[in-house]
Amino acid sequence: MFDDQVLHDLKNPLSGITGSIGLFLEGLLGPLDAEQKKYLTNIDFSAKRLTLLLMELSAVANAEKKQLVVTKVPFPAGELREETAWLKQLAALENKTIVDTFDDDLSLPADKKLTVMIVTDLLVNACKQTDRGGRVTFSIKPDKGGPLFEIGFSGEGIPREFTAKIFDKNFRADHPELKAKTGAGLGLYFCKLAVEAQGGKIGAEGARFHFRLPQDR
Amino acid sequence: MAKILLVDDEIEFVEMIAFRLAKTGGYDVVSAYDGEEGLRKARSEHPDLIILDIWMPKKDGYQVIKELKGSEETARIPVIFLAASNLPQTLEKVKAAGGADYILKPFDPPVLMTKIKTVLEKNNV
Repeated sequence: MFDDQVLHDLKNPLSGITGSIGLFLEGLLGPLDAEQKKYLTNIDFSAKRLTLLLMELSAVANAEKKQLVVTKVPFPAGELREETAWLKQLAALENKTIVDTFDDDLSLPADKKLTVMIVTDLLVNACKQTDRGGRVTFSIKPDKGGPLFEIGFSGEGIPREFTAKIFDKNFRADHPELKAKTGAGLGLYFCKLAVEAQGGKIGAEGARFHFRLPQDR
Repeated sequence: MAKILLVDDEIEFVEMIAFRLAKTGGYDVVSAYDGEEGLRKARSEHPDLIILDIWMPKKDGYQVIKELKGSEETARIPVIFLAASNLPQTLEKVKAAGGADYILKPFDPPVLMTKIKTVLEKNNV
């Protein structure tokens, strides 16, 4: 895994890229026509995915050294909706739909940065598992044991023989379709580490990912 | 108009942040590209706030803030660190060095703007 210096060297240019794209998209450098906006948005999506990958690499490296910083400060679920709104646009490019159903005022007892990364990764994963024209659902249900996050997707789902292993490090399914959809096995491994670092549990069944983040006692 | 000194060795990053600070925050921005230049400009430009990278040539962010805090002329200037590592020991070092706040790279620029506003208000600027 990468060390801290390598991650630093990767994060610096990426900050320049994402920040500069933001100047265009926020209109700070003047108006954009529709084509310019479309392709800059595409660059922005790619940069965001690269940022997520880098943050996951960093978090996994820290978690494996037992040094993942977890700062649990309750935040409203609406902030999660805002932070993941770009994924709806990204999904729409492939004619897929993300539908989220939860109360914006629901308080989440969690590390916001880690939770945004977990949900983003699971939504990206669910979109990959869904065929064009398909639908991804995202819900958060309040519960005594802490909020239950569920991300479902249309399609065949994950074959039963892989659901127990899909969150393992470097998981690569011996299954051509699933292999193409799960990549190098970093994202879901990150999700497992980040959920467990917050005292929660994560799982998958069929066409559904789910995790629970418990309230601190 | 508050004056901000931005110290980072990544030129394209500095230009992007400086533009945003001036355009959306209305700040007067001065840039420096290594620790020594940062210290020189902290003394000559009298900024209201310094945004300081940690890993830089000539002098790193920790050395810079130590010298700032050691001089009566610059001791009261609040510093927001730009950190690329979120290892616990880095975050502890950042806090112990006397920074007013820190932000982890890569970050959403509006988050930096909020932190700047908060620190400036706290320091009555």
